[in-house]
Amino acid sequence: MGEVTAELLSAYHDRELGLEETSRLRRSLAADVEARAVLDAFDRIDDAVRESFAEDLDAPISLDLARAVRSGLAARRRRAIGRTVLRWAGPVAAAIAIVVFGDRWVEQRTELALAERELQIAELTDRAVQDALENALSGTAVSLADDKLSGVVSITPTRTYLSETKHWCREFVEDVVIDGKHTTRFGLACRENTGEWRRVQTRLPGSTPPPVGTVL
Amino acid sequence: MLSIQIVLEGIGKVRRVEPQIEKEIIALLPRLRRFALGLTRSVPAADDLAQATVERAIVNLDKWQPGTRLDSWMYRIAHNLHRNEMRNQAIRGEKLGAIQMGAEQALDGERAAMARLEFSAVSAAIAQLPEDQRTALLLVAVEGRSYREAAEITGASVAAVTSRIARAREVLRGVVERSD
Repeated sequence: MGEVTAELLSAYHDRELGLEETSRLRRSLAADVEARAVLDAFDRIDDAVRESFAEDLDAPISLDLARAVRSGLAARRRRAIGRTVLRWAGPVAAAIAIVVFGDRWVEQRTELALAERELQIAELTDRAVQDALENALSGTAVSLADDKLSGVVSITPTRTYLSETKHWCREFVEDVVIDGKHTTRFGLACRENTGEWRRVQTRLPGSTPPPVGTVL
Repeated sequence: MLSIQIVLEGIGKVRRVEPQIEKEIIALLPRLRRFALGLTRSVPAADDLAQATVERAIVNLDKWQPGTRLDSWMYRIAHNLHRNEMRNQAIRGEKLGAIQMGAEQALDGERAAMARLEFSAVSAAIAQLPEDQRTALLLVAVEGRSYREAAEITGASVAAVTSRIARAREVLRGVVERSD
């Protein structure tokens, strides 16, 4: 290729040379068949490289990664709001902190008092959620009963959509009857790449539903 | 009264700006994951790196300057995190799992070569390229970045990027010519 190096050709191929260098190289190329062949090869290589890397874009991203964005921003928002409040209204922030820590204390006590029975109900509910979301059509309930718990859990998928991160998500109604006590909640779960349905939201009747199609 | 107004304005600002950022980050996740894959050559490691990058970026979002490219900034974070991890692994004397994965990908490429020889050969060869060459190639040939942008993302000089891309293309040219 005479004095034309691969590095020079590669930079020319990427339009990275200055005007003077470009015109000098073009003059050399006119008489250098081998260098022109290298440039042609670079075109083919770049096509193959683009095609190869394009395959990596098709792989679905993990649900954890998508959720990291939302949860990270939510945590940041809480910190930012906290900072603003502390800066401008210290006493108010202190009062809020007392309320928050008071609530946390109660929560911790409640968690400590959580009986094995309640864990079993949660497991039964999760089994019903996995079964219903994987197998049942929207509007069709899947019920699981447990005699020891004297309870029944019914999961009814209500809506299915593809989220903005290309995960299948389903909204559902969760009816739990334990010892004659009936609780209804609404849930949202998305299907992880592994096939597992991950519950990403639970809300009580009367609370605001999530925005359509954007929830993760 | 004024302080309450300022507090509310501050909270309102956070709420107005962040949904847009959230959308932008979500939209660039596939490309960030691909960039991480280019660095690590291992799907689980790429997922971990992409996640660590997202977490680091969000915590440091104040350091990102609106008006500049969010993706370049996040790529730079990913590249730094990866470099630190590689350095730590070297210090710990660990064998690099990513390199083992690269060899497996090369084998996959060889199998597929029965059907699509050139493309598969190039794919396999890309997996075998040194990490700095593969990253430079991804940024310039695939993402259309200038050498200067690629240099800023990877913390290298423009001369180094120029040389890495040329060497990568030369290796791939050898592969293509052998498969002809």
